[in-house]
Amino acid sequence: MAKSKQAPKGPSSRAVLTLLILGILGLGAIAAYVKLTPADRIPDSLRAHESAPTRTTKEHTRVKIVDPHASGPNIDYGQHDAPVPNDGDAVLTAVNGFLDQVPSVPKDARALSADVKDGIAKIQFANSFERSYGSTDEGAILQGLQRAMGQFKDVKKFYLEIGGRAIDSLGNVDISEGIEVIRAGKSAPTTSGEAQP
Amino acid sequence: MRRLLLILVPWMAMTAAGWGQTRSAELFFTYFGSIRDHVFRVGDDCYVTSATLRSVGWQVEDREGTATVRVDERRARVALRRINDALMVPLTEVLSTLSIPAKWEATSNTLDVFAPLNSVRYERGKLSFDSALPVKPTIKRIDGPVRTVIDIEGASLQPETRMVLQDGAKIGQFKPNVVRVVIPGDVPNAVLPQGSSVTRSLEANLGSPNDPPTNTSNSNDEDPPRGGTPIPPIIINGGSSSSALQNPIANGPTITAGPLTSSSDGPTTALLSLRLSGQLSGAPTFRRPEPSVLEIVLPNTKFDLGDQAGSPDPLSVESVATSTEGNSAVLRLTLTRPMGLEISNAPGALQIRLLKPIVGNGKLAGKLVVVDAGHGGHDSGATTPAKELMEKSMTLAIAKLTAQKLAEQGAMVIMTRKTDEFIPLNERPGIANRNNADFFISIHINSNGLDSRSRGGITFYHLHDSICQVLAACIQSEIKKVSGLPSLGTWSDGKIYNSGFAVLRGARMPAVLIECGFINNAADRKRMMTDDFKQSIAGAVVDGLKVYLGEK
Repeated sequence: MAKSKQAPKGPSSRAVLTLLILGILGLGAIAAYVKLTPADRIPDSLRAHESAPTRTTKEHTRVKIVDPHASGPNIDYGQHDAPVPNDGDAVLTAVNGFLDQVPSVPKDARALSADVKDGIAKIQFANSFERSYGSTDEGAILQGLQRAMGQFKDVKKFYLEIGGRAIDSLGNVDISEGIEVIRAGKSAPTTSGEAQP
Repeated sequence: MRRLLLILVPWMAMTAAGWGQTRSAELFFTYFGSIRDHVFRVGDDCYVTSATLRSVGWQVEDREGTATVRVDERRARVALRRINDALMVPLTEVLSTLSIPAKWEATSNTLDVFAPLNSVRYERGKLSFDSALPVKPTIKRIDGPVRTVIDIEGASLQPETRMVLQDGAKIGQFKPNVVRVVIPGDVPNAVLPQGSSVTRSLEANLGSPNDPPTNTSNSNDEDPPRGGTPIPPIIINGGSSSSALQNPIANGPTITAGPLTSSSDGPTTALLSLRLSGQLSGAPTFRRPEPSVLEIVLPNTKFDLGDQAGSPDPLSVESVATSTEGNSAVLRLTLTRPMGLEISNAPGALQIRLLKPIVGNGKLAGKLVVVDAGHGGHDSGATTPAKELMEKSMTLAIAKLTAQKLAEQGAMVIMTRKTDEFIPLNERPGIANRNNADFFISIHINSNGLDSRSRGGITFYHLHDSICQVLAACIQSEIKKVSGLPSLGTWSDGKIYNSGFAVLRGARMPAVLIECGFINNAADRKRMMTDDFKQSIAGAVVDGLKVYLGEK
């Protein structure tokens, strides 16, 4: 009886070992392929940064504050890191941190709350935020907000609202249909094909 | 035993994958050049040790698995990662946080990090620049012909780099990490300020060619100018015959352009084709020094037009001229009247399409012009802090004068508002569309709270609309002559926001938006408050329309 039970063990163990060796060889081959293939040949769609899990704005403990810099009418943007206060909101920290640096925005024109759902953020502002600006100021505000919101991977588009009503414009641009974010490393809004003076 | 092996398999797989993902890499960092020790690439991320960053002058604090990197006043805080038993700093994440561009070379594991130049100026003998990272400028004289060369090692020109170069000075990307400024002629005793051997910004009064320098100063607060012996210029005698002025850029191959041929010249378009011996190394750009003159700048190109230059073929072109700017070739087309331009690449050629505005009988008289006074009612537009001056009032005054002058020329005029009332943005071009207007002109006053030194007027056109760009150029050219304010030229409204201005987007006819000047700049404001300014803007709009129509 004992012999008849032990008999199948030999071939089964060999099969497991064979599979194990094949598996190790396969993994080695995959590792060698990854090692020897330049990263730039990996399609964008397969790259880790494209498929990295996103964090909701509530999970941020630090945000990037967009810093506008002007040289005449040309505006460019840097950024620095800042902590999100305890029980604070990352979107509000980023938005108000940016607006604090724009002198033409009234000091009391603060973002009060933000709600993110299905890739769309609705940011509620104090009444004093709604006014119109000259086009350079307006562009600086909109592009700064686009960059500030661009750090939140779960936000694709956002609305500026007062009391639940979307703001149509800050002067010359129609923003009633929402504002698309600008991700880090992506190009700014288009300019002319003509060399600028 | 079998269970143990099964447990070990995932760990083995992870170890193998980790080993496969990580590879040694090279970092090419500004003027420091190649750095190979302890540089790793994982996917598109680059990891280096804190010591490597400190070796290039950055401050790094490691604490509890994170690193705080300080570069001048900027700061990035990132999580460290253990690679090959060492804690590494994710350099690409740091650079992204600091808005410093970095790029892997296509054929090697080398990450190029060059200091992007924010601005470069050479005016009246003064050289200044500003970059995002420290660079290493040097100055030297090259003979045959004599020119003064400033090499900014570690720097790279960017599409956003603001450049103002006068007195024939040229600029180019001499090497991947060297920007070269070439000043024609000898600048005797030209030296860079003490302490500027490595700097982020520089202001140097070099003196004009053959003029002695007056003084030097350095804008770097951490390294103020000090007395002492000036750095002697490096003199290179007997330079090669290839002029550094004519060929300061060694970036990409030089191709030959020519001949220029005309394939059609109809009532609305003219097609020209410029043969190219190879692929352009960068996108061609164009500029419009005068409404009827187009200059197309081709990078890394030289012309071989034979005897064609100066003898135009198509009827729309009065004359053709060529010149060189650094390593770029400039094709200058003087047109019979202002036209739009579209450039496209075709195999072995550059297609140049001239777009002729439809001008009817070419007379302003009889044309319908909608004049839009920006803002109004509860929408004050830009204001001074105390609101004693409001954009809505200034635009209405200028719009009324414009309407009056247009009517005097026989044009029909509709104003979107004649009083202090609010008109919604989309309604303004709607008025023009419903009346089949020939032109839509919107008058505005600008503001820039971020830099109250901003001065001057801009005429905007919508995104890449070539015809509207022509109209903007015609009007801004006339404004420049009479406004008494600096001209900032014509801008696409896409530079303000990607969808442009609502009033220009909605207009179905040639449309422009004029920003007359900056309300928050004292000098602009003082000038804009005068009657003469308002009259001059109104007159310039009329004259600009006439130039566009070919009447002037």
